[in-house]
Amino acid sequence: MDADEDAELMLRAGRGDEAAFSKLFDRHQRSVVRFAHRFVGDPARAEELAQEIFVKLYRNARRYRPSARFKTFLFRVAANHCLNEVRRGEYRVEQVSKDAQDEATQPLPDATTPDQQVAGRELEGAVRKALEGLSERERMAFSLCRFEGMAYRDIASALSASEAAVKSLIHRATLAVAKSIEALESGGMPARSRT
Amino acid sequence: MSCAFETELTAYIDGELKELDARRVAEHLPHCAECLATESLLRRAVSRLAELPELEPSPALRRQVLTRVGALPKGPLDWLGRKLKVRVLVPFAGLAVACGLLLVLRHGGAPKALPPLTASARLELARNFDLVDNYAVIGLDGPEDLAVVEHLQELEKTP
Repeated sequence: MDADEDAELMLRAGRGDEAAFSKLFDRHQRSVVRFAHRFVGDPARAEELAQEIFVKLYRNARRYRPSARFKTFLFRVAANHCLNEVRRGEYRVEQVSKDAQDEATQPLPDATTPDQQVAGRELEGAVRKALEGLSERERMAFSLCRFEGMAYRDIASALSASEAAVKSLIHRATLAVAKSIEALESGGMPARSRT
Repeated sequence: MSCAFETELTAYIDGELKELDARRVAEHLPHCAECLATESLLRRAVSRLAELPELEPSPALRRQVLTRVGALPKGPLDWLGRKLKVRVLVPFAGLAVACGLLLVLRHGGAPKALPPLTASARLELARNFDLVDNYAVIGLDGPEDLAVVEHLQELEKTP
């Protein structure tokens, strides 16, 4: 996936090229849904958010300038939208814990055996529990780094933060998640982050 | 108390430190058991995150997004074209015609310009200007009102 090609597709979308936009959508829909899911915890609501994010993206396509990488621009839009959603107070990551029982009945994708499914679910639970104790920005920085593979510089741009701040956010979040996973592996309760 | 290098460890693992800073951390690690343990913990967590199941979007999402995008106006002219449909244009045109007719009817009985006054008429008007002014204030509508005013004026004259 060429970042320059994404920028070119976005510029064409700004000129009304819906086919170009649909290519962009196909390339990035999973990332955006996954990102939204880290905030609202509910797959259906995450898809609704993703839909709103992409429509917002298309509406503002004419204003897009390729001064930043397209992915950075995309996640800036997504981050702001998810933050607004969370601050409206309708969805909090804590709610996910209450929905954990419901999610447990749904088959997990990419898991081939029941044991793998259980292990995957437990790991997901440990990560989710750690993320619940984090601030929204820590959660965002962590998601963009760990799940989208974005560089600290690009994350800083997406979150309108300094690189030093992003480094600190990612360290605190990763350490919290690491301790939670360690507790899972040792069979104990997830540890709270010291920071 | 945590080591001062601890906050650098995640960036070190992610390859995000400048070369000099990365070298300092690398040189520090063999001499600090705490940082070594934390670095190992972080690396393990990062590798385990790759095992997390990925959420797959439903096929409906694509259809919903592209449908909504397709329904958006392409520009100001397109927006105008979408609004000027027959079922929208006809009622508005009818309303515009009705408003126009109403305006014409209301202003059809507008007072025409008065003919120029003769000199004697002007004198008469000037003599009675106060009276005319008073009549306008109290809103005379007919002869009965005039009779009332006459009596009022009589009352004003009596000491």
